[in-house]
Amino acid sequence: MSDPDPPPLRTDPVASNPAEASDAVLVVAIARYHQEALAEIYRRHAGAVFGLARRLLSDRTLAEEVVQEVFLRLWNEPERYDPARGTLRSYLLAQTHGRAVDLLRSEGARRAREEREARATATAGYDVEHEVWDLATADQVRQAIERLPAAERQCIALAYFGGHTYREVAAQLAEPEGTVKSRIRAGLRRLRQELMAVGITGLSVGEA
Amino acid sequence: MSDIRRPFDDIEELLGAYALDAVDPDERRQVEAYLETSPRARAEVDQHREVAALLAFGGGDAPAGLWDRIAGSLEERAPEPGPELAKVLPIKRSDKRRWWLGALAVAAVAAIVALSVGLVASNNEKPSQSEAIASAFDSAKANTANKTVQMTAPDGRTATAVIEPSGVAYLDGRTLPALPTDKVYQLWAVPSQGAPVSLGLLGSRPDISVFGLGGQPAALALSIEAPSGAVAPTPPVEIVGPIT
Repeated sequence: MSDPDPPPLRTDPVASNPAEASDAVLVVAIARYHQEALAEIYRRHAGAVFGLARRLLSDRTLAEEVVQEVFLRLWNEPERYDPARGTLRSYLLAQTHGRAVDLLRSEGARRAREEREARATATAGYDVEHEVWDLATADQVRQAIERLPAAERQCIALAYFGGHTYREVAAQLAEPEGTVKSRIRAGLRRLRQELMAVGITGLSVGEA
Repeated sequence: MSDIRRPFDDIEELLGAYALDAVDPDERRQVEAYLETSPRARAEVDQHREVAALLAFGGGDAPAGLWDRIAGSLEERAPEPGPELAKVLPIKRSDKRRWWLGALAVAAVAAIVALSVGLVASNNEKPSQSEAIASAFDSAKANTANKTVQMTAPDGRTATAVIEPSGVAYLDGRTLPALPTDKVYQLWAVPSQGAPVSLGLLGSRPDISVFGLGGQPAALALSIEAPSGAVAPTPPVEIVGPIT
């Protein structure tokens, strides 16, 4: 509290986005076991967290368990979230995705595996465009996705929304594994450029 | 030279798939070991995850009742001592967490602008958040376990802060006059010794803000600054409230 020599101010306009800043302050409050702070974070992000879990796990109950686990983990280990590395939302969604994919891939989850296999056939024409298309609020994201080469779009969709490894994606598309691996990376990079070009903010994390 | 770099190139090429959890467990371990050595690669993964989070953006609500289940298990895991019990019990929380909290608080102060305290309340696009904060403020104000700090200036300008024992604090800046758009209010914790520490920027038309307060500052103060804020309050600092 009495640091005599405060560091210089940051003036990056993205960093001053008040909505993100408030998330960081709320995480500080969580560290003080302030339940209302967790409730506020839940109000802001639980819809997206549940949406992603539900999309990956056809089982609604399983998806709810993932949501519960992600928020309990934030409560118990708030220090794992590092605001310098990204938004709270992307942190929560990455946790959700990782956990959901673990469940999809776990040997014991027979039912989940069956559902996944059923979906694998349904994903032949899977396209991230459709995933985002119906979300009126995501106009700018949709624009950016439209500009992505179709092959990259498909690889990202199968990996991210299908929960498949790049090897599985390669097998499904009958493409070389190296090609799929590269398409995912190149596609994500391109998307980021496009999203920044259409004015989506909050992507400057990690920028030198 | 390119031969020597080849193994890293292979791992680099996996960063996109890794960020989407689309690698095998062996590859995951390889990438994670590599990320420890390469801040650049780590930043790339973070960026990929930000992009993925935007793809996942979905408007829907979480199922009704789920929050109640989560809140229920919080009480089992981290019981809050009641105000009376807290007086006699040492705070039973891990030192690690408290240490980290201090570090985070310092980081929060460092990123003064990033943590523009005003957060949600000034964001008109999210009325439900403003309402939630307003309602949290009202209940905090009504709770006699909390400290109320009345900040006043000689010319009659006032603001009210409420500090919970946990260090979570609120500032009600609705009573403050609006500033020209090229000026903002900046909130400071004034220690009994040493320089004031910024708690954040409140914008030119403050609403209710939430902030974290560490240590035992002697007073809170508001200064008027340029929109980017200041590292030390610009005199005259007239709106001051002692913490008693």
